[in-house]
Amino acid sequence: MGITVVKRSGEREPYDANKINLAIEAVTVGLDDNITWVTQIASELELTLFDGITTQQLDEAVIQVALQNVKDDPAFDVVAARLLLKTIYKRVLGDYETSAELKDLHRQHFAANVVRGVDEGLLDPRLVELFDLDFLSTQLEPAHDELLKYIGVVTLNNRYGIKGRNGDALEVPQYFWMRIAMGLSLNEADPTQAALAFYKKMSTLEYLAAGSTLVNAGTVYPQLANCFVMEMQDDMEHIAKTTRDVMWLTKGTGGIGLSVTKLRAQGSPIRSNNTSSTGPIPFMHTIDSILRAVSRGGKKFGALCFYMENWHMDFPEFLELRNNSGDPYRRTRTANTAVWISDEFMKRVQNDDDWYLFDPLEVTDLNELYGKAFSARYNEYVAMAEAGQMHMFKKITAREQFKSILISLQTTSHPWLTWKDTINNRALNNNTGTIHLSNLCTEITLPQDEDNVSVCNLASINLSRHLDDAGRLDFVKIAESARLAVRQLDNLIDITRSSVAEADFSNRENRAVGLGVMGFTDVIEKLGISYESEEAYDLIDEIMEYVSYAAIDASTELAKERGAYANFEGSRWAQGMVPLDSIALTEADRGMEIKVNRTTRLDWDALRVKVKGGMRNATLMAIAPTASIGLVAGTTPGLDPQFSQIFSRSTSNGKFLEVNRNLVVDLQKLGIWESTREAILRSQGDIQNIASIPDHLKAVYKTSFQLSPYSFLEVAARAQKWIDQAISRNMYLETRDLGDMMDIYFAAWERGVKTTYYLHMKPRHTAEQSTVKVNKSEDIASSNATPAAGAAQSAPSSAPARRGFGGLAPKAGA
Amino acid sequence: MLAGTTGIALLSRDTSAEAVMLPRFDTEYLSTEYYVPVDPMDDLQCDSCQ
Repeated sequence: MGITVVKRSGEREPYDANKINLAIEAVTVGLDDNITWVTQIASELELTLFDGITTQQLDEAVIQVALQNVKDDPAFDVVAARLLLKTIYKRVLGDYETSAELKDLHRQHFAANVVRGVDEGLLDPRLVELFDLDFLSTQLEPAHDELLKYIGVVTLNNRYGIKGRNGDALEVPQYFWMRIAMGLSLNEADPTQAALAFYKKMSTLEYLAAGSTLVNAGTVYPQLANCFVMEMQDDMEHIAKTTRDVMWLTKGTGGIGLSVTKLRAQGSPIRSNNTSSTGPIPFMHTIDSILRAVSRGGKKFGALCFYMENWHMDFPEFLELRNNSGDPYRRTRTANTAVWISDEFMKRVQNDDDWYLFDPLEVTDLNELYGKAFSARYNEYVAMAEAGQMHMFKKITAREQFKSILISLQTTSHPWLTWKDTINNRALNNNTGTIHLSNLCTEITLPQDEDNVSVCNLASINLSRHLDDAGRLDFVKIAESARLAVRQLDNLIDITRSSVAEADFSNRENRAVGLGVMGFTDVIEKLGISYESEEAYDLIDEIMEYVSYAAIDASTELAKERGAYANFEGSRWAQGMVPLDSIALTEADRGMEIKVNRTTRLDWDALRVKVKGGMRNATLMAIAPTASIGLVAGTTPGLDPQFSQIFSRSTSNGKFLEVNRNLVVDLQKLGIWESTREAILRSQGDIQNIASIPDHLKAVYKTSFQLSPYSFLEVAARAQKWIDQAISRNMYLETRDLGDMMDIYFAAWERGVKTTYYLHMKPRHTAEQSTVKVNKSEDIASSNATPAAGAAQSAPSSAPARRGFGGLAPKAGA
Repeated sequence: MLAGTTGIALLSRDTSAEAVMLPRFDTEYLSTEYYVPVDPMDDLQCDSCQ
């Protein structure tokens, strides 16, 4: 029986294999063995056909077939990406044959497309009024789409691209980048030229704006800021106000950090009606429910992290918020949790001292203090408690509580550990108050109070797009990207709007931005460097020095052009300080050395002079997780290691198979990809026991659970040295030993790491693999055995001697 | 739907309370022959911020 295809018009036509073959051939241009790909895809496609298949289903089927083969060769991902792009082009622009025609279609439709978006009430009318659309249309470069991987095209198209009121896609990728660039140039003297500069950087994936910006820039709903940080005050009105603010910020897709430390404890007296408080936990549950109520039709829950200091009387219950068991009304199923830890606590753990929990109502100033001042006041309260002068308090050992934190972290991946004194002591904008918490992803460290909901605006440089033709990192280009990104972020502040007056106020007054990086692992793999090597540590140190220097310098130049931020006077910037200088301040306050290398390469004295003259932004740098925009950029997220050489990535747009292309390229160079890929699949992406792969590659291509956790800390510490905010530092641990965990998190504090993010524990069990075919049992057994000699390197020298809970000798300086 | 599905999109996104609560690092069935590990990072979590 002949197969017929139903066209979009409803008309039927016979299935034409030749037409399909030509289409597949067209998208395999430039790939090795393209004839092989055509044959393979075409023959597998035949198996999926049925009579009456629509043209859209046919397009989909070809893509599916290409994707099924990605595990054999990542080139199939290129084919799938090109096929998907082609369907998007056809839908938005119409049919074309050659790349020249495609470029011309881009040019022809651009202005009309923007006008349609404005007419439908989707885009900002200023996009038509302020820009030379005809000129910009000539600058669109569809060839840049070649940089996108399949997952990038899907993410960009599904999540970020604008849809018309009738549901039609309005944007091809290059229209999308131009719309974002225009939406961030509205305040420029020459908006068209500014948009062109931003477009060139983003469309070539050299840096990317963050999620909220990509969703809303250029639209009539420009909530472009990414992070909102607030604290709840201990009164009913403010609890209600915070609840309202969380709803609005969630609607606008911002991530939220919310401190509940100030809320009085359970059982604390309420004088107005002569009763007692339920404590913060039920209010947290209420806000947790809101995150599900305001959720874009249930598709995307709100995202929030609660912060609490660990001296709070209800902290033990805070630790249980993410537990599966227990009273569901005292749990947060959606919101995350993080603990805000003082140096005083870390020293008490070190010295095996007691730890006291208080009711915030009785220690109202404690939340505002940090460093030595916090310690002094805390010790006064301890003395008062022992003297019977406190209404409520509880005494435990510091180590007991630290163990509870680590056990909770191990079982629920929460609370994330963040260190308040390192954060506050290193803040250069400390003239605007105490930093009470970090944000949803633990990279933002900004002061806030009842009148200021602090706001941060993010972008990330894609390091993998800053390698030169010789395969070396181009530091001049990195600096150039950093400078332009800072300008783009500064523009964003004047354009963005939220529905929370305190957030808009804080944004205007402080102009805080956070420029980060992504693709670090991608780069070191391309350079043949192991993540856990001195070379890698030196490299991230050097990269972040360049980013930091260029970003700060750009902010001083912007201050000359546009004026310094309102709260500049009185800041440490105004004293000529740069982030590096604040390490010594932290050491002095802590009375202990911060164990991080202090090498510098650039002329910081010259920059200190410029900084003293004025800064446009209260903060400049933060390394976000980039788990989402990293997909668009097609690189490894943030500073994260490679999860595995082959793995499945779960996203809101489905699951995607990821094969490490750098490894494939290296194995192809050695001529052993064909002979090893089956073994790599069998070992679930672990190459350490594959005899034919040389040891130097095994060192470069370790998976996240095979790397020393101290390497994650060292990379973070070396980057943190240059960064005025913080880093979303994911941790991956194979060990479940609490003593080991204690050592690791203690080392983070000692090295001046400000925050940690998720802790991922290696699963104890994997799915049973008992059949002969499925990951053959003998291979699984061998992959769990001791690595081949010389294959896996031992933990790097940066790992300290094991101490554990019992091994920590009391030290002076407490 | 074309976009949002892949040849290996075997499981729909599970947003139940249990799925959100439990760390999702495990292996999954890739094809008739293999399992692959699943990255525990959740792009949705971070999407709001970055």
